[in-house]
Amino acid sequence: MTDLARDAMTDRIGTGGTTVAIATPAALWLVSGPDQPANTIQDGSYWLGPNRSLVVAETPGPAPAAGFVSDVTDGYVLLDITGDWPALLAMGCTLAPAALAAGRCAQTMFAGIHVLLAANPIGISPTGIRLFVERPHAAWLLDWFRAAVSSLA
Amino acid sequence: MKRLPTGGRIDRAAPRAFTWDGKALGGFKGDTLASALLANGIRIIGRSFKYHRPRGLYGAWSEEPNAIVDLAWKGEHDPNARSTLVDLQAGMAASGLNAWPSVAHDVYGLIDRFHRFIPAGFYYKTFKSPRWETFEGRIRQMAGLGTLRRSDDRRRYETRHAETDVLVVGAGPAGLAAARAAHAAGLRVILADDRAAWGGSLLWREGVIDDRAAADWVADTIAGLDGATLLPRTTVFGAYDHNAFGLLERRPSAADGWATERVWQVRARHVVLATGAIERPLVFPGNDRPGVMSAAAVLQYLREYGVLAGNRVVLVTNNDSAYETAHALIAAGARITIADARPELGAIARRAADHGIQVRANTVPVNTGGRHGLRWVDVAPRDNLAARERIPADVVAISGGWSPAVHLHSQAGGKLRWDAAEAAFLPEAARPGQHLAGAITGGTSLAEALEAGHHAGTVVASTFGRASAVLPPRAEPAAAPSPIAPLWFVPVPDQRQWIDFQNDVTLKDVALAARENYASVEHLKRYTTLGMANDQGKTSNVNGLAALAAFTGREIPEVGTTTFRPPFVPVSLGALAGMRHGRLYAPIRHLPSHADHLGNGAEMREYGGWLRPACYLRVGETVPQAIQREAASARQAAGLLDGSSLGKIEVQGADAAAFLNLLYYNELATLKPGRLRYCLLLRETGVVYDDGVVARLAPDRFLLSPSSSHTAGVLAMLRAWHQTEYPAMQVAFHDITAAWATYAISGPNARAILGRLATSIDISDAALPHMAIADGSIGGVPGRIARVSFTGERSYELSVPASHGAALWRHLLDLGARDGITLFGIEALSVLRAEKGFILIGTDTDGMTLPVDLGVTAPLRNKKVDFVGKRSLLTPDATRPDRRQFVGLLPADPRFVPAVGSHAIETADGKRRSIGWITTSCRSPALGRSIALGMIEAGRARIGETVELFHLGQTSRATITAPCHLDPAGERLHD
Amino acid sequence: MLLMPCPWCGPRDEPEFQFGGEPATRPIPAAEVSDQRWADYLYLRTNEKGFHRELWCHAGGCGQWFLVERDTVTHVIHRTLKPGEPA
Repeated sequence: MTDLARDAMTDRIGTGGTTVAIATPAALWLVSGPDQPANTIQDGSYWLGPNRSLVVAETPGPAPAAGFVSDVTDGYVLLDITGDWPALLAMGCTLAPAALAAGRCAQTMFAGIHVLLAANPIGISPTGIRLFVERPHAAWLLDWFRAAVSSLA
Repeated sequence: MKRLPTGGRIDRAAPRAFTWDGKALGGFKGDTLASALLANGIRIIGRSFKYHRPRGLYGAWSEEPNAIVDLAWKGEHDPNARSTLVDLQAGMAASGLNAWPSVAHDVYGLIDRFHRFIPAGFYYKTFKSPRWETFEGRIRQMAGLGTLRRSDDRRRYETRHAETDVLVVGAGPAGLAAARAAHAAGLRVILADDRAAWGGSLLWREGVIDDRAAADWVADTIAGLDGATLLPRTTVFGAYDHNAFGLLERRPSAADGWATERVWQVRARHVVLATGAIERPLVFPGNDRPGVMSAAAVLQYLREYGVLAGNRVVLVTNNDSAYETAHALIAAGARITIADARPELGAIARRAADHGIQVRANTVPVNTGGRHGLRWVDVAPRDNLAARERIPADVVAISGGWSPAVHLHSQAGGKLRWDAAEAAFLPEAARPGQHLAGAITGGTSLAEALEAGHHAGTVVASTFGRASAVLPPRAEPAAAPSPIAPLWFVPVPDQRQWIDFQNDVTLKDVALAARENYASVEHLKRYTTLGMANDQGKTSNVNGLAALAAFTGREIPEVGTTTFRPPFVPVSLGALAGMRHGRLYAPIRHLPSHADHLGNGAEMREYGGWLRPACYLRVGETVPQAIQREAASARQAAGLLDGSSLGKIEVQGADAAAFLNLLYYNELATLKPGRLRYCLLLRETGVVYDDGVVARLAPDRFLLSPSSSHTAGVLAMLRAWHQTEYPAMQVAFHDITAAWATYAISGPNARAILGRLATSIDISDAALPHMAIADGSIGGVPGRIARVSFTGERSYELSVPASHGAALWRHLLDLGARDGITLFGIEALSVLRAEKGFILIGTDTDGMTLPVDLGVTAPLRNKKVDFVGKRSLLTPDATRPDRRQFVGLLPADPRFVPAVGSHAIETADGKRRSIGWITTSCRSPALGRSIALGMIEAGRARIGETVELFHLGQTSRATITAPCHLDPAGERLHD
Repeated sequence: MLLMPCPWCGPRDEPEFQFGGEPATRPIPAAEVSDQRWADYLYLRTNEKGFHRELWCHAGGCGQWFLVERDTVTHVIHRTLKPGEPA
């Protein structure tokens, strides 16, 4: 038999103006190991808690070597939000935009879902924010964004 | 009443047609619905809540108690529109409420003739027998406001969160001065005012600020606030902890429709409360007659909307403020008489007389009259109430004083003090992070308000280490006003004196409450309903408690106020919900194969926050039929279940085994790598919290499978115990539930089907016995296979990364087609596990179920180490012999399926007692009859006994059995 | 709607947190703990008005537990402590 096919989630909300698009990094790992300053991003490692982080590889590469590593590439959907992202943020959560300055990330409740938020990685343009949501909640959250973006129009 | 040819902020070049009770009327852009009704001479706008008395417009803004109407426009409807707050739009259809056939001629008005029999509290005394519910329906029909239509509400509702350096509430002179000063210091400012236009009372009161007209100063100030968040049409309705505030913004629709309601949650480092004050009515006989209006409202209608409320106006007052209304009315051509309750009047009366206004000092109102609206008012000297004089009038403009709008201050815990000189409750010191400016602090001139506002703004700026770069705005200081003379009511026995217009509460009702010893102001409120209508007592609370003070021989500060609670104005549920309705009501999780399930005819239902197939309906099948068919197929051939929602938590570390052994009830030290164990997780109270399978992957690595609805809770429990109780243990937890798709194949043909799967994993019985797990590759991607069964049949759980789940699902269906593979859903799974007597946490167990009740006792006997809940299993209550125990039941009639919750009844000494109940009940396709599970006192000892079942008046019988109804030896697991 | 200062994430709104109540020392070993002592550990707290020590978990954020010293009347939060941090 041929290998099992991959069902890649694709979606894009909004045209021009404010958009929400699914980003597809090469791999994601939950890593329990070395610590880093709270709520910072260092070399693709997003702080989740003391000695715990989510490591994002934009391009294919080996898994992190140190610590307890779990492949969660299929566990998250990444949404890149550009345009009037402060308004969408204000609709969904109580986090101040200042918490998402370059190099910073934050976990919070967005539209009632536990998510990780960060400024867009450097090199991805236009500037905006990146939202990590667990895959099972992605479909509902995308419906939420559809309603939210249309209310901005 | 009439519209003047000039004056006001309305646009006479933009007429707007509307209807009132079906009659075509006209208004202008800039009108409210109320001002347009007033301009058209509509005197009777509503009927009172209880007595159906005709009522007219009293006020001009959110304090209005009477003019609540039914409003239809553009296909949407508001059953309780407050007409003073509605911007008039062309095509609006408004009508009166609580009347038949119309508010002008209401048949129910006859009720008022019996008012002596229906005072406050009569409901509690009268409608007691046989039951209140007998009368409730009729009473609701005759009393109340508004009729709800059944159509969907398609208006737009939004939510925003914001945080800021300073929130300024109120854009009158004090608020504008505060915002200006704070903004000039570089602070982030949110300025909110509930009106569409800026300026607060400056919109209808004249003034000169910084040598120019107040209106110009307002416009310049607003223009200078660039970068600040300006929120007109926004009511700050609630103050919450730590300077959190709720705001309701009514945004004009871009598409010429109903306003969008946007609720803001604002967190402010500081707040300036510049909310002003609300005029109080005077209480005197007949003070509710249409035509009796707030003096300040009469001024607003004149200055804002160009509407002259009446031609022959009697102004009745006890303080200076109403005189401004008198001068404005004279200039507009009305005839004015002033009756001032105060004995000595100074310059203010002379100035009025100079203007041609008759002023009677020491004079109070004692009665009003006129059918369908005011025609006359009787006045008399305060010290000789019998010497009455009748003055013809079409409007009586009343002012009883001003109550500072202290609601937000009080909601935040701020205290009030009664100031006898001002006859008002004034705020005591502001709460930390809060500042007060303007009329909220008591009688304030324009100059004082500007200064106080500016001061508040600079104080806030200084807390940020900044200085304000602007000079304070200046106005001419005003002469101190003559003191107010409190006149809480008029001691004459004439017709009723009204305190709460909206809930029809009179002075006599307050006296009744006092006589019946409802002496606390909180009891007064609930007994009479004073202050409980949707105006929340804005015009009645102080008058009511002052009357209570008089009737109970106390001073006003002794009586005090009732507790202030948000919201300050009614907030629609739609606005509070925002986007949270319909599909967006609550987040829901989807399975990786969601689309396939829909394609397979799945009936999807929510289980523990996940959308899962309850069953898969074939053409012509009912849900119960599908469930029976699926369960039968799983035992006869093979069933396929999507188990992707089951939790998967990886636990790793040098102390992982020891840590898990401290948490779980079962012994885990003896679990070998590659093996699974069914385990219970307890709370410290010993109660079973979750059951699930623990897999050991390596000496220091485990995979936990909590039930779908408890995954987050189990993870939280692991973290809590690790962080707070065992922080030195080397262990970490990764929730990987979302990253994997898991499917279970179950049944006699399961092995054969899997044999065709391209996998590197050895699934022979030797390599993968029951309760074992192995990983490798499945279909070219990483995978795991666990041999574990929730059905009692030979079962395999296959896991692959979630993005490959849908492909695996389809592939398994393909592979199993020739062996009769059948999809089965959660309901069939529940039937299968019921046949085997497997528990479902939360269905068969409740908040008191201990492991011993379920018959799982070995760990308590044998496990040496401590674990969560251990001590609770050794208490007297945990070791009672008569505890309810988990058992099976077979109804005597095999076709009867008793209801879950049916009680098992024991009769002793002629008394019937419940000894337990049924927790699971269904038809078993394997046994061809009904089966049940339940919790029965000392159940295990009763096995073989017959017991009576009782449910909603019906009885039946059942035999108590062991929980497992099918294959107790578990041979089918190995078939 | 308290503003809770998470020691890791900074001030966040109350709905992001779970309340853990007054901390109590877990009495062990089970065999030496009386029924009364165990019941007190499960159910009895001082619950004093005013100054109150309590556990909170930033469940909607970093998932960490910490101790808060809060005045239950005024809601003033005096300070927070990470587990193990000396008082």
